[in-house]
Amino acid sequence: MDHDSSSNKEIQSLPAAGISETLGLLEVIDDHGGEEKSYSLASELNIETDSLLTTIKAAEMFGFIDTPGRDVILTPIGKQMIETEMNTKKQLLLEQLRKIELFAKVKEALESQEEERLSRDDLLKMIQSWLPNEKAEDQFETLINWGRWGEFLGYSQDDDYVYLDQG
Amino acid sequence: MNEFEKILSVENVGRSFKTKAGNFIALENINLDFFEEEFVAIVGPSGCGKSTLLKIINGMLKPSTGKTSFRGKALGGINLECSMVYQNFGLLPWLSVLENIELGLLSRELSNAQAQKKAAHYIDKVGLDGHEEAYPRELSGGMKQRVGFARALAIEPEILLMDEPFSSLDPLTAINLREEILDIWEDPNLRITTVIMITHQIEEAVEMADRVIVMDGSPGHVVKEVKIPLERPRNRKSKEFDHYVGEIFELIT
Amino acid sequence: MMGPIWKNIQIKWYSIALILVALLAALSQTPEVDTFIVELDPLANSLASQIFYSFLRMLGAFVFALVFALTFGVLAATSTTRAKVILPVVDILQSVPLLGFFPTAIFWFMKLGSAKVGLEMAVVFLIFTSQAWNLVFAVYDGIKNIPESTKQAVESMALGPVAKFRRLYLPAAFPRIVDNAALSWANGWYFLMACEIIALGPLNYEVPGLGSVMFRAVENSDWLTFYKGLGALFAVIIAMDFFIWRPLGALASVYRFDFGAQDEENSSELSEDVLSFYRNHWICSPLHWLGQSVDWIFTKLEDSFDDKYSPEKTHTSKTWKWVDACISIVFWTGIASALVWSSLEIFEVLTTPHPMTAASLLLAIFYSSLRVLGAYVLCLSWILPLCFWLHRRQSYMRWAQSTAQILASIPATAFFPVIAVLSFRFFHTTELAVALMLVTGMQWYLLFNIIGGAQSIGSDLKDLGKALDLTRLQYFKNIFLPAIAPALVTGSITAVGGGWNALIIAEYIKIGDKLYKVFGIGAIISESTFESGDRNLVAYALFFMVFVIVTINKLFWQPLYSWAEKKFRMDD
Repeated sequence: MDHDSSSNKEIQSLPAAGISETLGLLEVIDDHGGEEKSYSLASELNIETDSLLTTIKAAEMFGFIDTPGRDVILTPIGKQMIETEMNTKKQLLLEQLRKIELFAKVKEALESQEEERLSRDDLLKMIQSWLPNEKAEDQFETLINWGRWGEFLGYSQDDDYVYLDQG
Repeated sequence: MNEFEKILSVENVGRSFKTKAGNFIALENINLDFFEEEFVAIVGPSGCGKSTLLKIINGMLKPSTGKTSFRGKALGGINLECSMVYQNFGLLPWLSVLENIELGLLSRELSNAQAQKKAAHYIDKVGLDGHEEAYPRELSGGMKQRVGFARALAIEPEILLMDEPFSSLDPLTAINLREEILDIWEDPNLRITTVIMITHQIEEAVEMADRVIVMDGSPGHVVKEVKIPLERPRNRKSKEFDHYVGEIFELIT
Repeated sequence: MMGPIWKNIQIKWYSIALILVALLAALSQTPEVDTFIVELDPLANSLASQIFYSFLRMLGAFVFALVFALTFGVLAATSTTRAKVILPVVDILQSVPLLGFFPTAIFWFMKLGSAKVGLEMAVVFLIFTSQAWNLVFAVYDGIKNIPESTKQAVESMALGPVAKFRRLYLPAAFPRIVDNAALSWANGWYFLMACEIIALGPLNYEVPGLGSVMFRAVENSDWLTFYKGLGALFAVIIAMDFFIWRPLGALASVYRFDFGAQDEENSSELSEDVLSFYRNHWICSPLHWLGQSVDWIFTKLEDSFDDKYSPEKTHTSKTWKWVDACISIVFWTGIASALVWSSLEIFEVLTTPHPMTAASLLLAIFYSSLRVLGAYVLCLSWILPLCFWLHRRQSYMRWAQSTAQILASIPATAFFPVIAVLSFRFFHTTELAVALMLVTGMQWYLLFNIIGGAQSIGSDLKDLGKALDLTRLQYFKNIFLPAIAPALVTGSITAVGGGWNALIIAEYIKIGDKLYKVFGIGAIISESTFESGDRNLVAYALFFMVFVIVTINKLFWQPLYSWAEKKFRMDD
């Protein structure tokens, strides 16, 4: 949606939406022929506008949809996402993840560690410093969720570390 | 559907329960046949015995009268060619995703390595790759249900039973998972041939099933079976779709 | 804690209660006094070794209690018929003052081995009884609360019984066990001290342990040793809390189905760190080996028993029907024979003429009840105002709760000799001592329950009080009291139960050559055990006491709880 124009290296916070939800949104837009108005989607699906907007923001961040004005339009990648089988979906997701700034920063931070790992607490502190206006725990949750989907990040709760998933 | 073989039949099944108040008849005189390569939905008002019927099909409950036969043989206990997916997922919170799926394989004679390999294969199929070490509490509803699917698929059954699998999910996730389960059912590489799904949403039933069995209660019985010969993917807005929804709706009310 | 279970217990309890009471009383025997010789173990003289012995007894008893709880909890949770018997029995055992049966326990265990061994086993057995009951309910609760979908999912996996226990029942019960373990241990310490004191008092038994150290110290007015002992006990309790219960609590959070409810309050960074240490540091490898051997044992058991379980034949399997039938036969035969034998025994006892009449026994019970009632009122007089005050000042609540938890873990029974000696020295009365001892045995149950009840008063009720501009007294009478009514009743029941237990020691305690006693049922039991060896009187007295307690429980407390709950329910 809108970018904060105050600094040129602004990291966007992650919207709290799941991948399944996002894929569902793409399906619905596709059912409408690839484009629809956001408010009519909300009423048709019987979802809170708030929650729909979060999902829309996520889909946009991945580059699966464009949002000119109040419209939501499926992009070619978005269309590809719903048509391919699972493993290709994940590949596409990974490609798009790499383009999101927060993930790039996390990758950098992990690579600078000796074993390419960070404890949850350490990573939370970093996230909080990059995104002082957001709740770090919530960002962490979405980060790990998306990261696992793309097989980009891994997180072991038992051993308490986040790591780069090499495949 | 007749060119396909009959896979499961429910013959003259009735089931009653003893309660403090007396004898409660949950199901009466159920006669149903299920065939290979079909997707069947069961709809009906709550309390009409749908879940009880599913448990009898599974072999978990013994019918009070009648019997269930799988490929011609009467069931004497739990049918290992069936597996079930639940509305509230049914995961064990102290096991990781991988461990939850492997648990389902425990009673099949597999070595640890074989079990892990199978689990990994189905984790891949439902898109859970990357989540193996996650605990259920870290997962959203949609992910938890994927674990449920993977666990059910890992034992490679012929019949997949689903008890309101999408009712606890938000609408968008439900849309996504419906698509994926249809993909899984249509996948020729998977052993699953028949799916029996309970739902209280008529639209969902018409969207997904080849045949909808309409039930009603007091006592639980089959009202009518409605065939849905529409091509997939189905358009919820089409006239034909509406027609079937209407027909089923009238049968229930 | 106890509330929800009662609702399941049907009226058939009364007959079960009678059976149990008769059984227990029929078992009562008194050990022969002259076969005992004082045996002072020269090695067991240092404080450290005394503590070690006490701890060892506690540990042994706890292991038995766990095994017992897992067995009967699972048996009850997996069959409603069994539950109808097991739950009331455990509930009654919970309310019976089992300390009164300590001499009986000594008698029976002595038959199994030497006097010394018998005594030790009796102590461990008594501690076991104080720990086991709430663990049984914990296991039962844990299994009953497994969500329906999870139950069905595991059911359809067609696991054998060993596998089901290992992979579903045991993990499901684990968090509830952890929740109750500290309380179990607190009860255990209480009974441990009490047993060591009883053993030391009238008869010349010697049980090396912390309680006897402290008792001897009071006898000899050796206050330094007494305080050292107290300090050591305190240290052990705090250490256990920090090194065992808290990390276990952190571990248990992953096992909870209702994740989130408990965690906010109990988990802390520190306990997670300690847990992490246990998991990962090489020093803790013996722990890991222990875990692995348990796993190995389970796997071996699974292989031998579960192989014979064939899921496809569960409807008609003859083998499993047969096993099931065997278990039932053993279970019900056991109950039937206990019933028959105990009825015969107690009939014999009750029909033997005895100089002490039923009337004087009832009088003794009456006096004892008055003491319990008095102590109860004393407790309320400081607890209710304190809780009300804390309720208005939430900031102190947490601090007060943690302090109370630690204080409550220190067994009051360790102080009984001190209380007896000091109150006689300064006030020349034993009644005061008895009252104080009773109060210490009752107050914590009341306190924790009332705090719990006060915590659940929603802010909307508090705001209502402000909105209506009620005075403190009006608020107390019209909002606070009704709101805590169910919790107050629950706490009172457990408290009164604790009071009866304390009575056994409190009414008759011999320190050195000074005898502190009053006229009451506890004194009669102790006296006839230790002085006259009058077995019939013991049986009589026990039977009457337990009968009265159980009757009051069921005819008064339980209906009161139901009424209070219905009338003052908080949720809509």
